[in-house]
Amino acid sequence: MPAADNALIRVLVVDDESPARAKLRRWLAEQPDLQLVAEAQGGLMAAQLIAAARPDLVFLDIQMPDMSGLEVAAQLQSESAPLVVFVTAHDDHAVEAFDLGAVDYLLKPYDRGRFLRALGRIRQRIHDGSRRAGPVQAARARLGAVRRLPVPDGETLRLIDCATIHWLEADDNYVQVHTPDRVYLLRRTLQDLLQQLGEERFARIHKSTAVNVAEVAALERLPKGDYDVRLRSGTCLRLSRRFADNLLERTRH
Amino acid sequence: MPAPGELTSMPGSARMHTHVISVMRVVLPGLLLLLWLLVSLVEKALLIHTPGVPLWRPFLMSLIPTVGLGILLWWALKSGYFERVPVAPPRYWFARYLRAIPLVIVADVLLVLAVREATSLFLDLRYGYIPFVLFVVYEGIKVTLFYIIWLGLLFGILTLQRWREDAERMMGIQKALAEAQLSQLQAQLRPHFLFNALNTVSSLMMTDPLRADRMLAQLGDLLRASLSAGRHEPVPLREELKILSKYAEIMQERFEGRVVMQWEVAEDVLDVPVPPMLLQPLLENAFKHGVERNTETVRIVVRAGQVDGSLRLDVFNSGSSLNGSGAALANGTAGTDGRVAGLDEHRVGLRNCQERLRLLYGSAAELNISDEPTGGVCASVRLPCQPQTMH
Repeated sequence: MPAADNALIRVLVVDDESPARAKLRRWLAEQPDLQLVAEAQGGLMAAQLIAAARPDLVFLDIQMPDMSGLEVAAQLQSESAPLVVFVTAHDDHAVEAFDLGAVDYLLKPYDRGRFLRALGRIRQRIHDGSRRAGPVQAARARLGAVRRLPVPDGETLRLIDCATIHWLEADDNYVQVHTPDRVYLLRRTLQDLLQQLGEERFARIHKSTAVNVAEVAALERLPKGDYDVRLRSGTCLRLSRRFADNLLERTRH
Repeated sequence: MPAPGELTSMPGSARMHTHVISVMRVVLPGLLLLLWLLVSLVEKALLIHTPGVPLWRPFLMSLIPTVGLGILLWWALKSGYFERVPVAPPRYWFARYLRAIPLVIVADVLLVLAVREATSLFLDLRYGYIPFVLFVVYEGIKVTLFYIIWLGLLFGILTLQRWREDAERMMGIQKALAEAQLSQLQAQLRPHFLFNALNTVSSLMMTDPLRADRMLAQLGDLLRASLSAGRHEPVPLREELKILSKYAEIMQERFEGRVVMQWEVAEDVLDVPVPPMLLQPLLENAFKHGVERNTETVRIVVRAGQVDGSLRLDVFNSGSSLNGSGAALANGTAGTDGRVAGLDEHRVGLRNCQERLRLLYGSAAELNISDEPTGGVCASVRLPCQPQTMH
């Protein structure tokens, strides 16, 4: 959703070091078409604010307590993600990934010229309505299969260990994340979430369901050659024929 | 934290010992054979004018001290006896063994007599009569010469061995030290720290030029100190703490409001020499695992004091814990990869410190890291107050 040219670009600044935030705040204030809507001091808070305040642009520090900037980006939905400018002091590997994916970044320490150049590119992107998946994909590529996932818990987000997820179920625009103690509702598509969680741990068994392969207890053969997937927790799920071969292959070992 | 046993083994006395034995195992029989032949030939030459002595007799007779000494030497080497006797200064070493000459003569005479008796009894060999005193003098001179030649050779071998072992050990120490120093240096100048500090300066420049200026000066001091840490000389604790406080101030500037530093330093230990940049990695860890991973305020305490005659240095942080979960994840649950990776890194840094201490002080120093009962993690170093040797 490209913003209209005359609309204000709503900005979120994320950095755990307050002098670093102050610097961005100061330079952002000089820009008439930008509006600083929020500041976050950590990754979880950033993820929360992105979901709540829906900024157009995020200046995202990479090294932070609780959740890194890359993790924040990786859990964004590719299509609806805000534009992201990564800000980092030192991460050669991430920078390589950014260069490959045409992702905007600022290397600390940066001067006003570089900051303005980055803004120029961002304005161009907004003008073109170019795709926003770059940072999300770059972060996912850099992180590989994520080990933990932020999920909504009342008003806030909490991080859960991906190994504790039993299965996932698509539900309109949401995904139900089933864990031993409760079910979390994520505003994501199953496809997108599975891409983030990685192929090696989760397998799709139906158009709308996927399981944690480690949680599969047995495959139960049904009369017509269909299968049911029984999880260690006792839950039984229908295995669609489309995905049967893949799962059979992977649970054989 | 890694058990001390995990540390890579360094040249120690045990290894040295086996090394000497393995060399001697090859050299010793050869030397024995050579000397036996030599002494036999000398004896043969001495007996040339004595008629009726068969050719083999001098060879048999000189076999007695050869075998006797051979057994003695073998036992001494095997039991590590020579390892415990210092080679230097040589005159003490020689004096020690030359004192045993009378004993050697007596033993040799008795042995030779016994062999004589035995062979004349059982093999019906005849020996020309020589007066007993003459016999003792003759045998005594022979065995003494034999013994002294042996001592000389042994001394040469042992000295060479020691010299080689020393050279090897020194090289090992030097290499390990260089590596430790290098990793210290890299830790000190960790690019991430440097770039972030520069970014803070760049931010302060706009709002508070004086503070920015002060921070740049501190950064400069820190760089200078880390460069001079390449030298091995110990520095007074006072100096080490000064550098440490500069690092702490820069970090406090970066993590404004998120850290409270406390210094509890006893006056009487300020002049104790410590290896340069010993505490910096520990403080860095405290920031990295305590402050950087927490959004709440973390307390870091640096303590220095005397405990039971040794210097004890503590770096405590209230924000981390060693066993996985804890304060580090404010809202999260356990099992985060970032944290585990961090711990590994932590361990590498700690191992470097431990290795360095071990090289410098042997078992007289130690570094421990543990969870505090009231929360937080404390890394503590114990050093001798007066280090004996610093390489």
